[in-house]
Amino acid sequence: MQDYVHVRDNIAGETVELWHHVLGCSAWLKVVRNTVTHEVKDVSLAQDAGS
Amino acid sequence: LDGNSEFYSHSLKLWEGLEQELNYNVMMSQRGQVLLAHSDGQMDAFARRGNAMRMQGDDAELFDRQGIRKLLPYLNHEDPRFPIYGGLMQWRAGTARHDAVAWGYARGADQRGVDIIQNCEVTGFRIEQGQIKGVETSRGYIGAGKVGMCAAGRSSQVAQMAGLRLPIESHVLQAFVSEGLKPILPSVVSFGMGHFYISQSDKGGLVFGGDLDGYNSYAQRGNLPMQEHVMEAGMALMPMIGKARVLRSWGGIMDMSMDGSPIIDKTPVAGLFFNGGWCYGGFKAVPASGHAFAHLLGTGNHSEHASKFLLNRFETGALLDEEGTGAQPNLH
Repeated sequence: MQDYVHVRDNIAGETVELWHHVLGCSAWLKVVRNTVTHEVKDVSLAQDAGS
Repeated sequence: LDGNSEFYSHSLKLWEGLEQELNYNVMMSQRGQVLLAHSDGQMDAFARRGNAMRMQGDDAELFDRQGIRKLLPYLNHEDPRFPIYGGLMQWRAGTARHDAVAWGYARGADQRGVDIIQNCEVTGFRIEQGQIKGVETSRGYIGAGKVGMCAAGRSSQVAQMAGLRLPIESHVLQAFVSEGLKPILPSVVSFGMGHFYISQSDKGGLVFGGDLDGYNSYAQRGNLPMQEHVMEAGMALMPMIGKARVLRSWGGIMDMSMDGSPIIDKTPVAGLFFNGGWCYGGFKAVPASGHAFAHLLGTGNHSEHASKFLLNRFETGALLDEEGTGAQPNLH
């Protein structure tokens, strides 16, 4: 519970995240992003990613 | 909040004696900080906050509409969205030169027998049966019975070397400086509703900034949408700064804790201590943070001023969440 709510891996490098396109089409996106360079490596619809 | 307020009160008192203690001019200037209010409700909340500060022995003064107008006549008092109803002034608040603080501390520590090793990266911890034995570095091994870990912005990476995961996320916060101007701003002004604060340095540059960029990052540079937002807020509050040119901007990495309050505590590894999660309130906390951390390392007990900055508050739920936003580090 504590792990899930409060503790973070806080990775410096490539992370896989879910982004929500709030002011647009409301889609959930699965984004592979580098937190050090801000490079976005890959984006796909979360519904297709099966995660 | 109880737990935070007595700590920062203690910190301000230490700031007031810092230059004497270090024998170093840190350009500490208690020029006052005013928080602007934009509704009757906010004025009531500030009156309550001001009373709480005074009951603790600190200073606070509530200014009404006319008072703020007299103090800062060039603000846009009649902004249609956020008209200025008044403000809460803490006269003992202020600014200091951050470089001078670092230099003063470095010299003071050196004179008291502390070895500061520069250009030396921590590469790992030596831990045997749950007890810290020392630190591996890029310049060799250092054995130690007690180790203090204090690496703001990179706390998670350093803690990972000791096998720990922290309730911390790293975010980028931007700040801006204008070209040097004649003295115009007498105090620090916080425009909370517009996510904007501004003061003027002794060199004359306007120093201002806003909120976090919004998503976790280690990039040490900011993005343009937040720059635009900060400039807009600045123009809404103080239209005359439109004539000033921005000299430079930068982005720094903040240790954002899950409740917006810091951590000064022991870790599950015996002999390893942690100080971090300062969000963007670390500078005002510098003297008290050092004092409390030294107390903890020296005695093994928590300082009376920092008895609630514990790691286990994320387990027990006894959080120190000033904003009441929950485990959303980008909202603190």
